[in-house]
Amino acid sequence: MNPLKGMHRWVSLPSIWAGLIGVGLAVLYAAFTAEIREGTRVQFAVILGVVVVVANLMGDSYEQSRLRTLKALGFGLEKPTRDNLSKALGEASRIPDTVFWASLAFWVVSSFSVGVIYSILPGVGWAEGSRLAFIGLALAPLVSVLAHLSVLRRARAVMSRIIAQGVATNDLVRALPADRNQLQRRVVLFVAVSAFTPLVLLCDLVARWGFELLATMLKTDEAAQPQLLAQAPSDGLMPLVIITGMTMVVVVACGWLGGLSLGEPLRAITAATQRIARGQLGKSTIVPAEDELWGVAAAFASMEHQLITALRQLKDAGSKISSTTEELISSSLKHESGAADQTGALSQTSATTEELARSAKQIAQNASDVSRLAQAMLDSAQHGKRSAGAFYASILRVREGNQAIADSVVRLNKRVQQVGRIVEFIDGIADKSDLLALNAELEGTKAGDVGRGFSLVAAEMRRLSESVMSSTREINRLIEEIRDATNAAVMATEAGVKATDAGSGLARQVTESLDRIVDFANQTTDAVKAITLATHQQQSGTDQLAAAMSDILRSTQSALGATAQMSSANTDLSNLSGELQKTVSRFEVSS
Amino acid sequence: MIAAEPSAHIEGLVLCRVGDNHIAFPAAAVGSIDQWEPGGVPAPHARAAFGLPAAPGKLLVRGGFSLVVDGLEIVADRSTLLPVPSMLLGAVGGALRGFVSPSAGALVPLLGLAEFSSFVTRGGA
Repeated sequence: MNPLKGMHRWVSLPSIWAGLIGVGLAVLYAAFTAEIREGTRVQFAVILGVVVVVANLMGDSYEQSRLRTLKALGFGLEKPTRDNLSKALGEASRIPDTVFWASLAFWVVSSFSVGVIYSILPGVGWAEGSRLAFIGLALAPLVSVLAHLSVLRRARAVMSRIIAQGVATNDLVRALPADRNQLQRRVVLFVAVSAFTPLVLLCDLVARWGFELLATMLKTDEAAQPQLLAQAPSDGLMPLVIITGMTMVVVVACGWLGGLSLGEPLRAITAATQRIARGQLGKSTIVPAEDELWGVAAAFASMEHQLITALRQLKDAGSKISSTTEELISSSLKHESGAADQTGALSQTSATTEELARSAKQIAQNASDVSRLAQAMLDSAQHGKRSAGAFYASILRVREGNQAIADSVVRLNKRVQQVGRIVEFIDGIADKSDLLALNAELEGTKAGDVGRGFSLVAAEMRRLSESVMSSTREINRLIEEIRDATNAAVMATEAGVKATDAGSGLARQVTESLDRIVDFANQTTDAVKAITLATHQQQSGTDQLAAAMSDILRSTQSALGATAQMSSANTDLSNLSGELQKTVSRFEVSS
Repeated sequence: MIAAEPSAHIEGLVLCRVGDNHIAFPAAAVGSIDQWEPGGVPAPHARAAFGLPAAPGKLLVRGGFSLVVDGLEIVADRSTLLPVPSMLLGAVGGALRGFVSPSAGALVPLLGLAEFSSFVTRGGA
């Protein structure tokens, strides 16, 4: 169900009741003061009724015109958007003042209207009409204040309903800016009205009562005047008491309503303050009020809203701080552990670096030794190169000698072969001589004693041939041996030539290798010199590195101490965060 | 016949060497002596009679007969000729004429050149 339905009518309805109360009070006053002439009371009642109805209709129409958005929301013609709710809120907040001024204006106009219209009745003078207008004008402020105060409470109730529709505190503050500080003026006005209306009416009543008494005494005999004077107070006391009492009732009602209008917001704010003091924070407590009270209520609502927001943020921050602090503690512990490990590692690294520096120094020393050795190797290589060159030349000479020997042996072999052929020739001759001698000996033997001498000569020739043949065989054997020896010598010399060729090739390769070795040795010497220089620089660098590692180690040890302090601080921060959460948890912030 | 005469003598011998063996021929039975090489003039080789392979040697020639021996020497001195025992008559193709001893302790068969050449040619052993 729409909570704003009918609120536009309900909020302004007390102004009608207040007007009717005022009309009743005015009629009562007029009746006691005999303002209505006999015979015109019906006309007066008609005039009064018409004017009251018209004035109420017009006043109500005017008031409803000032509650257009609230009315539309109540009928569902408009959607409860932020703008519409803000407009309705403004209308509800302004309706008490609207009612006051409208009531005052219509009372003034109606009073004049009744007085004028009554004056023009037959037999009625302007004096009677003026008196009636005067009564209306005198009661107009009081009735307006009564209407204002009676509408005020309902307007606040309507505002509460509108706010309950979802008007944010910021929108509320924007819709109802707390810049109208009129409480003092308003209280002065109410007090003035409350004092002025009874005072005017009493003065008028007393004056009228005195005039009537004076007129009566003037018409009365002097003897009866004391008795008339003695009775006068009791005659005029009753209307005075009734009218004053009625007026005071209205004034007291106004005061009661005024007190309520001042006290209710203060009580609500006090209750909200006490609730906040108990730590119960819900939605922002918005207390509809006016003037400075509204300023206080708006400031209180803003304060509560800000407090809720701050508490939520504080709660979130506390949780985050707690979790972050826990992470910080964990991280600090890890960092502390890591820093300890790092310190240990750095200690080892520093020791290693110092060892490295010593090694670098040793390397530099070794590099210097290597440089000297490389130089010695270069000298040796150059010496070896010269020796290899000499060896190569010697090998070449040996090769030439071997070649000459081979040539000589070949020539010798040829000569031996020639000798062999000669020996074969001689052997052939000796063989034939032997054969001839043999045949000659045979013939001499066959000749008997005659051929004996011939046989002896032939035998001797045969032995000679055989001796030659034996010698030739020996020579052949020797030739064969010589041939074998020369062949062996040829083969040996050829092998020697080949060996010397191989040796010369090897010597050349050795020479070339030694050339390359010399080049390499030169390069090695240069490289070793560069290495020596680099190792000296490395030694200097490692010395600096060792010093730097010592500094880093000291810094890391300092960082480890700082980390431990940070861990302790994080622990303190965690404890503070816990206390903060505990403190914040005392406030119950409903979502 | 010479073989039939006991304790006869013979002058002029051709003492031939065939391997480790020696045979002798009467100098009168040898016409000439020549050198012989394997592959040369075809002639029976005395080594065949001893089951030995052919080898260079001296070629003995007489008429249409020839024989190759390893070596030879001529003994002009007078030598005792021992007769052929009856049981050896006809041996060596009938070429055996007796035995001579050209040196002390040595007994060499004396053969007829033509008969021994024929015997070797026929392949006797």
